[in-house]
Amino acid sequence: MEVKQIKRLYEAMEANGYTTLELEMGKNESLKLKLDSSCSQTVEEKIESQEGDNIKSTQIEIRSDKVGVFSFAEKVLKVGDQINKGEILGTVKGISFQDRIKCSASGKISAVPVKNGEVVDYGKLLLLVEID
Amino acid sequence: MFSKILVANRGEIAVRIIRTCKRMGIATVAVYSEADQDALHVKMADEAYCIGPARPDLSYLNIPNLLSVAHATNCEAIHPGYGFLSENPNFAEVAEKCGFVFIGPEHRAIERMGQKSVARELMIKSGVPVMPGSQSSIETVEEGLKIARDIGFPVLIKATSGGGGKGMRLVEKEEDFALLCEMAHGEALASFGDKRVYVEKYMRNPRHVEVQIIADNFGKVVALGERECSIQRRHQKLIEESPSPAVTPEIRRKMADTAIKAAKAINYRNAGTIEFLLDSEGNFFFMEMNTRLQVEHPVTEMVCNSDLVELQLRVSSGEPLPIEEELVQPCGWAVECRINAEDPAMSFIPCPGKIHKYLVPGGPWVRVDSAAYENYVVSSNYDSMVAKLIAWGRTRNEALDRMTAALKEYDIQGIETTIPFHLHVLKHPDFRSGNFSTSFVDKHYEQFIRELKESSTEEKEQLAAI
Repeated sequence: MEVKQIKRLYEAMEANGYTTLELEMGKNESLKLKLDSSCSQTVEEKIESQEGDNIKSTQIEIRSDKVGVFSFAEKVLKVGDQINKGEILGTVKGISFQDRIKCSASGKISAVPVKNGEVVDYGKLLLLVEID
Repeated sequence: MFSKILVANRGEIAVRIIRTCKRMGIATVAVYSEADQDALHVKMADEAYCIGPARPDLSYLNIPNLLSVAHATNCEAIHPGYGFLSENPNFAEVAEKCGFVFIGPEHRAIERMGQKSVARELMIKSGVPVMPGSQSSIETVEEGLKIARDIGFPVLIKATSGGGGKGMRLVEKEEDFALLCEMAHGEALASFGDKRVYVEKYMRNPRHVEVQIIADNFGKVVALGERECSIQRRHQKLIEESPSPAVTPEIRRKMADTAIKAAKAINYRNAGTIEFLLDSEGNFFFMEMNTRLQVEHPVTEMVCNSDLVELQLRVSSGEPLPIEEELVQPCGWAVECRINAEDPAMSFIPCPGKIHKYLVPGGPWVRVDSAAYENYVVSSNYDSMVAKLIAWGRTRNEALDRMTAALKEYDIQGIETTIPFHLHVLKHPDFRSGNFSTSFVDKHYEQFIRELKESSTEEKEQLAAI
């Protein structure tokens, strides 16, 4: 298989929200493609800045842009937990996809409006992060 | 019977489906776009999930999100309503593959009937009368022209994958054929991604009469009479009634037999509508089949004393049809007016906006199917239908009189609606006589505008006198 063809497969995966793809081509040849969720931007983030009393705090809203069942990754997050940029915080699993929820910056969790195993819909606020 | 279903639609039809489910004890899951957060179907369903932004392609047409909701909420079946994904064979197929019952026909039947020329070919093979014309899509302009000469002008060039009048051209004279054929190709390609067209004879002033059928999984097909849908504007129906004033018991029997034959030819299941063109001599020809519940289904329900959504749910869950006879005879007369957020005085231009005051008519023999309420905002993202007003009477005149009274009682303020136009049609002698065709609206539109202006001047004079 040519690099061009593999590239095209990646584009198709991205367009359809697939994270893995396995192809069998003949008896001894197979191909497994894995799409890192940093390639497919599936989580909406909104940065809000508030300025007052000379203290500047910036919050990131992490929202779901698909519909599925939410699960925390390693542990159930709570207010005050420190998270790192790019760390997988949880997943939203739909019928044909699994989105990894990440934060684009490091910071402290300031609100957790989502429960483990909850069905989340489009635009649902999952986590609020106070950026360091 | 199912214990929980997903309603993959919005507006009045979602409300309509949820109502029957509530009565039958079936839990419902609604879906909505960001523009529909305050919609009635969202409030009425047992659960509701936002599936995307206002744009239909990102929400109501978003198959992964719809199926994910059905999966996450343990739904057993999906009702597509009408419009949106209801006639999308891919959705029906994927839903079935994911383990949900699609409340509608099998995906192959949707696909075959969706391709107008394939459907036509199938009907010819099954002995269903079709308008004279090409057997299937034409290969070249010359081939089309030869067929047109054989059947005689005027002819219609229609898009193979078409619908709603797009990619359709009326050709009156032979010398215009080549040019109009090219235009039809171009429009068909732009609208449906398929440039193929076919040719059929054009009937002047036909009536649009359709037969409602429903089929179970055991090969039984029942016809629930016909609907008269000739009062339409640019292929958009405005007033429908059942039965049709042009259909005699003999024509009804023949139409029902033909519709049943057509449904059996493709092994059809669930509710469907077979549309015919009816000429003044009582001859009818297959036009197309709609493989879903129709907007105008309530008039059939009123005269056949049945709930079509309930029948759909029953046959989808594997129950046999609870109707003995092959053709249900209509009892009395029912008429439906589509109340759209359109200004009839301005060529029916859509006028979405907020409804400030909303008072619905009531009383016996009046039914309102709507998702509107006071302070409801008619969104410009979706179609402009606000409500369907249905009235029943023992005779046609009684039904029309009750409809007139109900229309006058309907108080919708904040937006323009089609109510003044309906009132005009309902008192028109041609409509009252039952002797009209699909050209009725075009023929009488100017008269309506004239009367509308006169009545508003009269009102002003009366006010000035006070």
